[in-house]
Amino acid sequence: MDYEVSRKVWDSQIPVQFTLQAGGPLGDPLPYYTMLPRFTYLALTLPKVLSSFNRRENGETILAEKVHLEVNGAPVKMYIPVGVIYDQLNQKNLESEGILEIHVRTSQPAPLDFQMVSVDSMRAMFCQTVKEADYLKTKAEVTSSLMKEDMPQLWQSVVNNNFDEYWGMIQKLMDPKDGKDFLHVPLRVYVKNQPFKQALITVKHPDGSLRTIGDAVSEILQLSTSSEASTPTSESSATSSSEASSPDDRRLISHGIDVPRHTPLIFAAKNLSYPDNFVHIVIAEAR
Amino acid sequence: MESVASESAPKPKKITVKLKNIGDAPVLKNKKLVVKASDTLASLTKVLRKMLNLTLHDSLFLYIDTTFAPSLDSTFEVLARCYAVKTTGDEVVELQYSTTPAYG
Repeated sequence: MDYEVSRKVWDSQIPVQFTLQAGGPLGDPLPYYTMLPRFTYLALTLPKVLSSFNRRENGETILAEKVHLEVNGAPVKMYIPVGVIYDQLNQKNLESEGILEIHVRTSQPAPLDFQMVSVDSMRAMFCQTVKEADYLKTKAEVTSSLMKEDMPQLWQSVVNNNFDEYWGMIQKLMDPKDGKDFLHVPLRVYVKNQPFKQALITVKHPDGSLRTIGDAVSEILQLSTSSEASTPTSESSATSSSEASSPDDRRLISHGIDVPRHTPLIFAAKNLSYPDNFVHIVIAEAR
Repeated sequence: MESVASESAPKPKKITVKLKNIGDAPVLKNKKLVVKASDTLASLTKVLRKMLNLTLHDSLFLYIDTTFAPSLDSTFEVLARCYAVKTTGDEVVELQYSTTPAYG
């Protein structure tokens, strides 16, 4: 792992605005502005946001169980890192320039595809995702050998935005002592309006050369059913994929930057992963 | 799903799911299900809750290889690609279910 890179990735933040349309005689409270680390979760931020909204006098107290969150009129996932939400909006779709605008809604019922996530369930989901990542990397050898307090400590480093604590823990997960290669790289790929994609991708090609992140993303997208469905019959599936964007003009976005296609996958896995131990790549169209 | 120029729309891919109870979770009569590749774990959870007659207060946890609980928005396409078990040549996604948290 590279300390400098990990530190930079950890420190990157995004501006977020929360607004509440409460109606009522008092009108709406002022928006809540904050800078959030990219690795954090809306599930962790919401309690702070609501206590700010609830601070005004004579206003009705807003409970977390009674609200749902929207971005651009669509329900937002509280359990994926906010940096991934931000990258998915692809900047130009953000309502105000560069600011992630989250609408807190009190209208009932909440949309069916919205899931309220408490801090407790967020912790459980986070730990399970770290385990899934480790299952891909080492068949869960590392996480099963961790001390009982290790996972909670990793989670606490996220909650408290404590890089030093994180750094101590994450090396155990990313640079296991036995020095073995990862079996597979935990990588999720997000294409607009589709569920995330994931596959078994090894660090190296069969000939022993290092796989690049560009290779890995192409492999994940080529084999997926949605691209099969749009493969014209005249073209053999052995040729390049028929995704709307050809591999060359696809941009791979993570942590708000264009990740160069030739980046070795193993470098991305060790240094560009979110604390959940997955590399999250958002596909954007060429500028 | 939009298909571009293909004449015959390909059939949506189906995936076989095998379910096994752990702990005190009730045993299912029908342990095998066939789901669409585009279905998510969340949608299976809904079906399973009905099959098991669980109330709103009951929890339900699904695990892969008795090790971890995949994210509920994982599609079965993803689960099959990453975790399918091939015993008799067929790809099967094996899930364990529990009404109490089972593994960490």
